[in-house]
Amino acid sequence: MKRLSLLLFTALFGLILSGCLELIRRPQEERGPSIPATPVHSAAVDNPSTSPTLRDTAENPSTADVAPRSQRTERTRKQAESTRQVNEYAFWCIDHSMWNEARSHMERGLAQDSTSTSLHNNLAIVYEHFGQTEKAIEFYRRAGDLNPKKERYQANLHRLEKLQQVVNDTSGKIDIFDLKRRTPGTRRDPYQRLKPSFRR
Amino acid sequence: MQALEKPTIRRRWFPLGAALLALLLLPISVGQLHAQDILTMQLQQGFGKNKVRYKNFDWHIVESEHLQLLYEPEFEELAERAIAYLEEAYDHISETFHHELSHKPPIVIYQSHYEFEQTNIIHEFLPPGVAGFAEPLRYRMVIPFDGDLDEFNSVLTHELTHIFQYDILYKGPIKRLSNPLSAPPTWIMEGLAEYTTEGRNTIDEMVLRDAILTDELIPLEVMNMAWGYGNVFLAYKQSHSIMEYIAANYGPEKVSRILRLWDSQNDTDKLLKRLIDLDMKSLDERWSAHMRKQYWPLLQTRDYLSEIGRKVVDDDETYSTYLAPQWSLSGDMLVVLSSDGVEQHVDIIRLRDGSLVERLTHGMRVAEYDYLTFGDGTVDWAPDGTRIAFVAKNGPKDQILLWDLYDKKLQQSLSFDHIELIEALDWSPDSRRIAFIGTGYGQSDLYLLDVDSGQLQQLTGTPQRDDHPAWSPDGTRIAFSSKHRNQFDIKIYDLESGKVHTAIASPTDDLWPQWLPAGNKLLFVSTREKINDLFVYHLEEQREYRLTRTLSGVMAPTLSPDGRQIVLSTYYHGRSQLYLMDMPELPEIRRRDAELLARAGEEPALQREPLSADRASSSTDSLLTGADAIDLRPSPATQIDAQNSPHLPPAPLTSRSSPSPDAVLLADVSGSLPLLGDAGEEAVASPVAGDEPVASEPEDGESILSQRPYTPKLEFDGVSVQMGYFDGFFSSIAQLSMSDLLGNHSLSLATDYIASQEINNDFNFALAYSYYGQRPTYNVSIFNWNQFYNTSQAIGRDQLGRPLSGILRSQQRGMMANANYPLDLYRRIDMSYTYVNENESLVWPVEEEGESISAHLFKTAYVHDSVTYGLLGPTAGRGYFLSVGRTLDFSKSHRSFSHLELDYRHYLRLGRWSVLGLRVSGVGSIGRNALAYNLGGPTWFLPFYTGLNLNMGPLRGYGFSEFTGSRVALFNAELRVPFIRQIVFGWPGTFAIPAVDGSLFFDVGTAWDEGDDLDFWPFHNPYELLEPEGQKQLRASVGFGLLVYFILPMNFEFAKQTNLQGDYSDYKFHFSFGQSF
Repeated sequence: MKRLSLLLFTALFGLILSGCLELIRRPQEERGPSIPATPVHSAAVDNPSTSPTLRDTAENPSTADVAPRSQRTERTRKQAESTRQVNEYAFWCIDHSMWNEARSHMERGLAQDSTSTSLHNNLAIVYEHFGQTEKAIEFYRRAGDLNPKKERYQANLHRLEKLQQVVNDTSGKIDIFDLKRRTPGTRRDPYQRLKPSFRR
Repeated sequence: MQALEKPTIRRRWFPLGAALLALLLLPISVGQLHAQDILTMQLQQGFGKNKVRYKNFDWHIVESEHLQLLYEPEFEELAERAIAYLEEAYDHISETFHHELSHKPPIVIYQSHYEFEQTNIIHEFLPPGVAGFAEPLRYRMVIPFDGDLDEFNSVLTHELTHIFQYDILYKGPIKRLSNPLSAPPTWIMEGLAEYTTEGRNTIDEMVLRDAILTDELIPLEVMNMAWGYGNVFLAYKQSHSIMEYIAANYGPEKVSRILRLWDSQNDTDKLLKRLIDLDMKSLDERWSAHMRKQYWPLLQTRDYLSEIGRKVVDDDETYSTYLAPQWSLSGDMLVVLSSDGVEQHVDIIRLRDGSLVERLTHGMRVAEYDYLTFGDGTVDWAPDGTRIAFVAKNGPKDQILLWDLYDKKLQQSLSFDHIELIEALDWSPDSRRIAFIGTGYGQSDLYLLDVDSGQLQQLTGTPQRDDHPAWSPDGTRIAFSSKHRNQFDIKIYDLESGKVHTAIASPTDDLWPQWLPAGNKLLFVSTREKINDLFVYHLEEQREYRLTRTLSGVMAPTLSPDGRQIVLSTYYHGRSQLYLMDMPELPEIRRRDAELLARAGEEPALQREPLSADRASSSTDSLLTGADAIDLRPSPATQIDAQNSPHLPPAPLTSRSSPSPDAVLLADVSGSLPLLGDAGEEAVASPVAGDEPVASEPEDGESILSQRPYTPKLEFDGVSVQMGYFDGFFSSIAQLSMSDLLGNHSLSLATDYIASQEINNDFNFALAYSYYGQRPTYNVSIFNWNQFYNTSQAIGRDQLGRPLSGILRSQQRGMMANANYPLDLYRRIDMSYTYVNENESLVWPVEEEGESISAHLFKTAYVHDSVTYGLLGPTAGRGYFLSVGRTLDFSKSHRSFSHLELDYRHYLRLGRWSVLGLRVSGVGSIGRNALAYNLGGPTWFLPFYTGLNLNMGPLRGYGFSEFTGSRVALFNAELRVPFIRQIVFGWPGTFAIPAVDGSLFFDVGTAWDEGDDLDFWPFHNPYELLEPEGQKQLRASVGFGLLVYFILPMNFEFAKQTNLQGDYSDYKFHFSFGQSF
């Protein structure tokens, strides 16, 4: 009986511990701790057309790396909260058909937290809405690089790349109807089409 | 109990005398007819907003040659200026009217509008639009300082003119008391007051020009009505212009004679006929023609704003107003102050179509502030797009409220010691600081607020008005408008050095600077040719370029974040509207400037350079080197300090015979514009110019005028006497009221002498004292009041065997004490104690002493009233009160009951003017001597007699006070929709009906006594007989009505009783006065 109690106690303790670790880890997932930051940095540095804000925020991860663990957790929580707020506001703007306002705030949000995958993804959607396909592909790619586990980012990227191929294709080899079948819910408005892919 | 049971008694003398007395004795209102009325009147709870006395004022009096001024030592400098302004104005007005005042008028000045709102000289709420007032009874003037000395001077002159008018018109106490009946039309009174207040600013011009060009002038015959419910601002400007027209075409002497002629004519047409040989209509036609000839040529050379931009909000509603636009981060949206004629809000609107995106202040009034500060620059969107700052009054002063866009809620509120008014907000480019104009101690200056830390820094300390701060794009400089010698220039404050230099100083006002993104150009508004237009000043080239030549003029331009678009306000078709236009690049600016100059046929050399070459050069030098720049930072003496208010000597007095704007233009163009050194004088020392009159500035800095602390002294406010005869009784009521100069102490005495053939002379009195000098207000009254009644009870029989009736006297003696404590503008706690001893005895034909009964009643109530009222009733908001009362039962000769009452009203706006009013109320009187309340019919409202009947109504469709009981429950729902707004009739005579509404209503309620069974359902069937004894059903009615405002609200209502099960009675018609519930 004692053994059983000890076992149960240990299991409970383990669960609690794992829960705590989960809580600690959760904000870090937002910036994708297991993903090397290099692609983001290199993209920002390599591509001068990228907004200057991305270059500015390239310093942030390294700063975070040297900070004590407790501070780092606190900081990332703030960043996550800030990102959530920016995304919420951007959705509100888009709901009111103010894409420009959404873009401005997401760009500003990325200037403060360049590792936010959701902001990259959502901003890519806004760029796509404005017809800035190259920029949208780039931001989808960055979102995917920052968090490769998120299939939505990859799906968004592949879909847009496919669409781009259709646009550029003159041979007629790509079956546009097949493409549409594989992207259910496709509508004319890319925002409407991709709304489920928004990430907060 | 005897006094309560008088079914056979009929009132012997008409109630109007007592009713008038009740009105005059308000708030004590002891003119009720028997003890229950006195008690229930004390229990009847009223709504109403509060005049909150936030400050204990320390008043002093200074007397000059012609007037006496009341002020507080903490703004002594402002008082000295006021004396100087007033004495100068006195000379001017005296010369204009050829009149000297018969005595020194008392003039009370406040250092801000919010302190002015606390005055007790009149007890009504003073909204922000009231710039001051003069009252004819005791010739008192009350004026607040609003941050601009020139405006202050103008208001002082305007109101002093009214004092002259009263002195000319109302010689002697009889005329003074009867002045409302003998006063000239308001347009003459106000026109003369504006006439003596020289000079019209460009906003005045804008309003008048708009009315002329859009053919919306107010006909002279109906202009008086504009003061009640029309475009008051335009009415002022038109009246002013008409006086100027008379002076210019018939001679200034004609204007001087108007009031004296009125004394003998008392008819406007006859007056004008004798004065200028024209009747009112002819004068109106000639003046209108003159104004059209003056303004219509502008159509040749000027643009409608719709030609160069587009309207942001395409809203044709007459009452919609949009102000103070500011851009969002991306430029997709604007935050604006909006008004729909009923409520004012901070709104986020789409730039694309002007539609509403978000209402920031929805439900915020009452909970967060008293009311919004509704002016240019009192809202601003942070450049990072995350916060919006706006200003609202809370308690005794303004506060800055920060709205977080991400959280969609108020994040922070900031208020500051000794800054009462906050205006002209501008966020720094890093969104961490806010520059604003703060007014306190009778002076307005530029302040800098660190939003995160709440630290405040005063940047300027000049006595003259500063306005419209604007941060440079790099955050190192702030451009702002600053008044100097009655004219606004644009200055730049360098934050690092603390130096200020004048950037733009044209011969006219230069306002609302805005930096272009490159930081080397300023967009601003200048009042050239008396019309506000947009200009660009190139700081490096030191050249200005005209951007617009508009008809309507522009105000408060604001550049989009990318600097490519401008949103601005204009006044068009009688209201403020927003327009959007493109901001061109420099080559286009140059081209447009040349085109506009060519179009106007102007000489470029005269108009292009606002500064002389030397002056421009020195200006630039100072900017670059700082050598000649002025330090406008507050000196140690002007630091914010509770114990030591900024102390600056009076500004040079403005000469009454100052040159016209044209003369100033010539002088300035010739090179005599104020140079940097001039500004320095203004900023550092503000010396009094030697060639200008000085009223009270002695050499040693001490005032030579005698000052003394204010001591309250009661003086007569008025005496009124009414006499009446009714049914054999003669009644003579005299009412006398006294108060001190500031209205803090008030004493009222009312007497009533009653006599008849049967009774001896009888003397009634009521004496009341009220004190309003502190936040809680107190009122104490004592009374001895007798009423006489005929009784049908036979006392005996006369010689012919007919029954003889007797006369009963009901005597009430006692006292009442009331105390009110306002928590804020909308909420208060009321407390009262009432003692009444009542004795009823037979006085004729034999004297027979009756039984006495007394009551000690304590009552307290919590009242909330945030309702907005229109002419015909509430239009929005919520009001409720909970009232609890209890008598002390010392013996069987004392009344014993408890009282509980709840009244809740909510008004939901359905569209602009329609409103759904909902009301739930209940009252209960419990105990041995429970009071009886009435229900049925409309809430009968006689304006002169509030306590005649304890009707808790309305319960329309039933007889007036048809139901009686110690408990009453009532629910009302009424939908009111507008039918007519402002209709003018030409016969008989010219008159207007400003509002007619239609209403649909549903009432349900009943009155019952203790022990009755109350059936909630079904409602009483109108075709059934009364309920069995001891059983009560709810009574319901539906109906419709017409609500008409003509002099006062009148209600014509038709209602049917119903049980809501298909049974309806015939229509019953009700007529009543007063606003709907």
